[in-house]
Amino acid sequence: MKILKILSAKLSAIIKFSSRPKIPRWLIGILFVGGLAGFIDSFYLTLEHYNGTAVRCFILKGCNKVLASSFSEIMGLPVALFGAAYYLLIFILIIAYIDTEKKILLNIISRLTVAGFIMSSWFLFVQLFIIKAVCTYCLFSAFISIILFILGLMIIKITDADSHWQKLKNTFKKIKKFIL
Amino acid sequence: MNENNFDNSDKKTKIGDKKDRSIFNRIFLWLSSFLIIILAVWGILKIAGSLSPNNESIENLPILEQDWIKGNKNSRVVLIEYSDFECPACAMYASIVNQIVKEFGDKIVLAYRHFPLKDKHKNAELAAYFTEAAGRQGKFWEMHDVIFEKQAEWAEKNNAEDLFIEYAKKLSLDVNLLNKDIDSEEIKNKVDNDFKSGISAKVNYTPTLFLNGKKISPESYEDFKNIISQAIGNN
Repeated sequence: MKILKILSAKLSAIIKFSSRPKIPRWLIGILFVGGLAGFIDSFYLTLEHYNGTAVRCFILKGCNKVLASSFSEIMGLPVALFGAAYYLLIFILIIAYIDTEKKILLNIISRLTVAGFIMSSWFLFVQLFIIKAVCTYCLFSAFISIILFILGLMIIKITDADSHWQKLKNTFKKIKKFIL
Repeated sequence: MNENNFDNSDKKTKIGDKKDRSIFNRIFLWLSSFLIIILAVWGILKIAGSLSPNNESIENLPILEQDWIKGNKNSRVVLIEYSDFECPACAMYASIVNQIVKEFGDKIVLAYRHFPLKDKHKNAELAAYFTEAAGRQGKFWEMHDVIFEKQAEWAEKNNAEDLFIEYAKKLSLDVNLLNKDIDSEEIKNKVDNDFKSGISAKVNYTPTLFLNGKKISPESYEDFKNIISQAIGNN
């Protein structure tokens, strides 16, 4: 445990040293932690899917109904596997950003989190309205995805202040005009 | 390991000067991240491993109070069947299993547990509820037999419920009580719990038979007889 403390102290020192003033440190930190947490959650579900064992369901009751449903697989592979890969990718990308500070990495992350958010929303919909049972672990993943998505939007706003964010705002204005 | 080292290097070079990023820091960053991932994976493997049943024995899959059983409940030869009323293979196995129980009588005990594949079979869960309700009136196995016998009549039909009620009437069951019980929490939980226990036991198709906690796939009636005889001999 002491090793962990030393590790995290060193890591935060590196982050402090490396983060440009424009991108807030806490944003990088949450991306780091979020990617890790999402990975742990998804990897656990992937393992249990292959083991066939029931997960320890807490707070909610419908875990196994959801995890054993036909929606839990895509092309024969567990959904959780894709989730684990996604979160691991986010984690690796944010490490790479801390290392190199290349803006393009943040751009990739912000695009990925949009995809992650869309997928999470779909699975939330499936649970609530099709399976009519909710799995706690899936809910946690959805929660992480939403946070990462919001952070992704923040990144777009900060890094592309002149171009992409303005384009986004203009698109929204056009939609508004079209509706009204 | 303190932060003074970093402050000193701050003063020597411009802040944010990438070229002066020490190799040591970079290696440390990647190494520690890698370590964190490895730790997480190891931890999860441990947790997942501790939950899955390793040894297969009666102790891991015992008969429970709420199980519907046939045969001798004190027998050391325990046959547990996870089944789905709307699955054709299960209907076929139902008669085979019944035969086995008839043949071995008091030497074995059979338990039936629900494992309705809701996504594939739309009336499977309802059938399970009906047999449970019939069981509350003392006729679980009779209802079980009828429902399997007449599977072709009600499978995938929209009027399955009406058909089940007809079968119930023929068995002289109290239909009003039956209808009440169908909606009861108690019965829903029973079927749910059966299903969950199946998931724990790694059931992923129906029917799945467990003999003393171990999955068996008898290839013929003879084969089945032999497996059971052996188990009786060993216990």
